Amino acid sequence: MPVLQGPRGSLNVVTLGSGPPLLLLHGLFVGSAAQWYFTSAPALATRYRVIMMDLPSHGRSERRADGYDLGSLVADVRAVVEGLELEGVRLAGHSYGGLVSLAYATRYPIQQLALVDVPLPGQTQDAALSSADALLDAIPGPVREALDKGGRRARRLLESVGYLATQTSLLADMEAETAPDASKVQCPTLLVYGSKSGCLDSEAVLRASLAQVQSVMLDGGHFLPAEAPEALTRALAEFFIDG
Amino acid sequence: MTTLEALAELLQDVLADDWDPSTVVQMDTSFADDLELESIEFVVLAERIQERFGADIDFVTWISGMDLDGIIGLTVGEVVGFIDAERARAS
Repeated sequence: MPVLQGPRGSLNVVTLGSGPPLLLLHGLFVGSAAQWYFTSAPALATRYRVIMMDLPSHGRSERRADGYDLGSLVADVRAVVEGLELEGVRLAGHSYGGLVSLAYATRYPIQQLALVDVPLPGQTQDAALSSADALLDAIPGPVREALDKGGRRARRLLESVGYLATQTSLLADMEAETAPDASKVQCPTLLVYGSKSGCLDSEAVLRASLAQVQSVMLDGGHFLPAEAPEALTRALAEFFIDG
Repeated sequence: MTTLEALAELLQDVLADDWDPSTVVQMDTSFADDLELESIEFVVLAERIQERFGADIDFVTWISGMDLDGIIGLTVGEVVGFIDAERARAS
């Protein structure tokens, strides 16, 4: 598991398989490289060198108090691309990780882009952040089970989410963010959304503004890697391997 | 060294400062319920298992065939059984 030096601290990177590089980005708060490692990554690794990075303050990447705006997070992704000397990168990201992928694709040329239930700033109201109850409702099932059970995992998860929510600029940076200009993306793009997700208004905007776009709707809500891992893996494999 | 002992050594390495010296890793020890491994720690463990036991096994493909509950519910004995069976088949 290599650790790369990013512009603002060390970044933990996990890889599977060999072939052209495909970089996967997780969602914020409860996400990490594990979100992809145990779901879609093994199938994609039959064709690609799948690279999963922990975003700053997530998983085993170094913590930092600020720098969660898209520009800073794109710089982290760029550090991984340059650090591993990746050529002809493909990108996929879930939720805010997808937003970072989209922002990256507006600035750097990539081969293909997959956006999984991405909420666009100013488009999708993040209902999960509106109240404590809504935040608890938004926690994916397996994570909630760990919380209910208590013990070490619950303690570490709560400490991590608490750190992000109260000791960093993450929420303020998300609030201040504006949507990347998706019309600048030059590569084929796949949209995968959950039919019960609160982010469907963002799907409509992206579908209208991306030049080369295809869209897949899966049965599920926002946390598709946890809720519909097989269907999500099929959709990604059809796009990246068969497409 | 038995596979169980090797796996216990890898676990200690993965958990580092969080390792409780009183922990006894047995075949019925659960990664989730007993050791309370976080999913990213399980990723690190999977990589260490792959490094340690080499090309004979494909641990990630094995667990990717399970649903999340199945992975979370794994015991040390099930992983030891998989590693031993794969090594026996390869040799």
